[in-house]
Amino acid sequence: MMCALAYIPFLQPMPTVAHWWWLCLIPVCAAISVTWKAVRLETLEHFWRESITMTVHSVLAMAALAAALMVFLRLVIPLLPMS
Amino acid sequence: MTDDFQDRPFNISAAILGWLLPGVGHMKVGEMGRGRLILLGVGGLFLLGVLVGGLDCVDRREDAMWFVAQSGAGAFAFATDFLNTNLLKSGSFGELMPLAVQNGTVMVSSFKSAGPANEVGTLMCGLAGMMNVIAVLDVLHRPCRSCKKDVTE
Repeated sequence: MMCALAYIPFLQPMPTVAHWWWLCLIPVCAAISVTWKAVRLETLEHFWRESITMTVHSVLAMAALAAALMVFLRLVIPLLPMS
Repeated sequence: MTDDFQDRPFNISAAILGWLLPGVGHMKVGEMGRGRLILLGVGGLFLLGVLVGGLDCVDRREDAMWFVAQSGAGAFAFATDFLNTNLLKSGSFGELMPLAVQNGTVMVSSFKSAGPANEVGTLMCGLAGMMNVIAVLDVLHRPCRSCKKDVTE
């Protein structure tokens, strides 16, 4: 608690990141989508809709990949015969 | 196809500006909106990385390979490294503490980041640098909107 109170943004690392670091995936995907769509789109007419769609697709794809890996690790690997 | 490629412009000054400050290269060729969005994306991601990992997540000497990727963000990366060296490593902020290493003891800042915060912050800054490289490569061959029309057009 004392550590969190003494936190100085930008100078020190965030004190509680270890518990929710995986949530950083969302702003990372959003920032990458904004930059990518700013570069790739011919016109910026539907920019925000395209960026949000790409962000949602990226986050869902990575969540699905994580779920598939968890299923593989918890269900499939224990079924393999031990040598 | 080859002719099309040869006809494309080569905006070296815009590319250098875009590397120094993300998005400014696009602004130079008249793409103001695109430039602002690139600044928002690259700058936002870099600042978020520094917010999560602290100044220590950009370190030219200790994390040289990561700095190669981070340096794509131009002034952001070099300024953060400069501040890391002059504020944290010099002991101006926080205090220097002894840390036992393999060959003895080194002095490190009490603000030095470690663990997930350092990893996530370093990764975010590296991604920001690589995204800016994509923007720089884009502006290198982007037709100039703000330039005067050629006689051939």
